Parts: sequence; C-alpha cells; structure tokens
Amino acid sequence: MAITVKFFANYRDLMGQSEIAIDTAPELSVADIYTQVLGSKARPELRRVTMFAVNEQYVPADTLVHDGDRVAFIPPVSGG
Amino acid sequence: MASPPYIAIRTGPFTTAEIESLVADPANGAICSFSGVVRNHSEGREVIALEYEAYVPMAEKLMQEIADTITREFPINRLAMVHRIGRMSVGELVVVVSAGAAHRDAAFNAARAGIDRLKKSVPIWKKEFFADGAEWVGMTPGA
Repeated sequence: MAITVKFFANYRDLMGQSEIAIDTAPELSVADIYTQVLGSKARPELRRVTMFAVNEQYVPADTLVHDGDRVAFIPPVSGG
Repeated sequence: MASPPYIAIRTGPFTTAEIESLVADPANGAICSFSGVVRNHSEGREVIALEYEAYVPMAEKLMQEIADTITREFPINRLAMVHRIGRMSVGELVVVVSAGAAHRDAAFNAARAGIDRLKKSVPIWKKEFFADGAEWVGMTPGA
C-alpha cells in the first residue's frame, strides 16, 4: 500500500525533509504510521499535541489509511 | 444576498486597503478589518524575523469552510481572509480579515470570528527568529 506522509514545521525540521513516500501493510491507522515513520525520532511531548490529517482533512488517530492517501502530522498551529 | 467569500494564501506582500477593497459592496454601511503584523518581541525575547509555513491545500480548504460558515452565520455582504507565508520582518503584514456589512455589529463580529477561527484550526505555522536561535511557536500543550 503506497502512501505519502507530509511533514511541516517541527516535523520537517525533525525529519529533514518535507515528505516521504512509503509502502505499508494494510489495516494501519494514522497513529501506526506515525510510530513507524518517526521511529527513534519520536518525541512524546510533540506527539501529545499533534493532530492528524488524511487527504487534507483532520481525522482521529485511529483512522485507517488507504492506498494513495496523503497523511500529514499537524503540530500545534500558530497562524495569524 | 451575500457574495462568496474571498480567501487566499499568498507568498508576497499585500495591504489592508487592498483586501478591504475586495469586500466593497454598495449595500455596506460598515467595513471592519483585522490586520495581524509581525511583532518585535515574544515572551520577553527580541524577535528579528518570522517565517510562516502552511499546508497550503488544507489551509485553503479550511479557510474556505470558515469563511463560508461566517457568511451564513452573520448578516454580512462579503468576507475576505488573506494570510501571507514565507519570511517576514518586524512590522510587515501577515494576515487580514475584512468584513463588509450593512451595520457595524455584524462587521466587527464576522472579522473577529474569522481571525479567531483561523488561528485555532488552520494549518499554518510560525517560526520566530531570535538573536540566538529560532523556534516554532505553539509547542506549549493546550496553548
């Protein structure tokens, strides 16, 4: 299953890139993808305040991802 | 009958007057605009510059939803919301929300609701640059 994971702000700095394409097993949630992608770079204090988006829409952490989805980790927003 | 709202994320500068002109309507008796500018300090530290980043397609979608909701919620003629991204210096304009309405209450309330809702959910991030480093804003849980 091919998905795109996008990184912004804190996550872009942490990962050193703005997006990656990954091949994952089926039946994974966005929270599972997060754990898999962040790996040893995971920071609990950042994870606690992170929201998830799939295809440009906020979703709960247990939302399952599908082939072709665009997943984004959304750190606390600070526009305006 | 209200006009569809104008929303945009831009990479270059704009003025409050330009965004206000987008809500012009002969039925307006009031235009209220909120302008957000780069401030020279943050929590006691001197800010040299700011950089804003957005998840552009998602941010535009949410700004559209917010603007559509406000247009239904308040008796206004037109709402405009524009946010700039990229690096900006102290004093530069970051965001403008303008509302045109027959009467001032609706114009004030719609402009206020626009900036409040944008700040709460639209995926835009601010990085503050200080003399001794830089950090993304908003890492305080619950902030």
